[in-house]
Amino acid sequence: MVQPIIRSDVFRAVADPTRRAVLDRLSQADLPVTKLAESFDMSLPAVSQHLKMLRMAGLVKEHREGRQRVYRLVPGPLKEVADWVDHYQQFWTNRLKKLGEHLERES
Amino acid sequence: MKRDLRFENIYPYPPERVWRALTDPAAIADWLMPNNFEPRLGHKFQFKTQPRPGFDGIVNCEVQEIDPPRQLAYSWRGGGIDTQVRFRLEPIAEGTRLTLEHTGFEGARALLVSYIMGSGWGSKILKEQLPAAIERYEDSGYRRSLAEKTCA
Repeated sequence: MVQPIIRSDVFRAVADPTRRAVLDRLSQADLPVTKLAESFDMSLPAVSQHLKMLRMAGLVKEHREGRQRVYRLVPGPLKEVADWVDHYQQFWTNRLKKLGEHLERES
Repeated sequence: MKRDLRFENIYPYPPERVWRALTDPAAIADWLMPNNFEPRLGHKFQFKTQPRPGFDGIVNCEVQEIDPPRQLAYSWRGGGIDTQVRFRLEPIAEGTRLTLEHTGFEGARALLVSYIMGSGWGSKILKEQLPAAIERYEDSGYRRSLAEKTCA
């Protein structure tokens, strides 16, 4: 079903400039946490903390490659934020049609 | 940019019948979503649906206006979004003209602008990099999840 609600995590996750920069890097290529830490001159735990928030917001996914944890951007939630009014347009159109069907069944 | 949503539908039934479908919890569940609605001013209720990544499945609402069988309005809050839904029923020769307005998107848009579009990051990632990222991601299931969402 078309469900246009955006979890506030997504807003929180992208409110932070470092996390936006991380998403930026991941939009170009999947990267292991070590590479991310290097490119931002940050400690592993600090980067991991940011990645955790991004993961909770559904914006990145992690998978293992050998001994490394590699992160990938999941653009879906961002895209939903971008066009969620359009989602509601579709949602209500669909629901109002269902209302008509409901009324017909009840008659 | 479009800010508010407005729909107008005509149903071949008298307003009382349409009103019942808008205010009976079982009826609402049948065409909209599972809920614990009660037809009284100030009643707080929730719509609950399947959670999925990016959405906890809950919409928090409060009845703000109730005037049977003419007008019903409730707040519609979920995931940092604070909007209002208003139904207007008008008796016409063919039955009932139902107008639905979903408003308050301006605030949400403003939030969106400040959080995402701010600092030029949003427009860059959404316009230039996101399409490429989606392409890369499609192989690993995004296309599938998008399709599921679109045809439900």
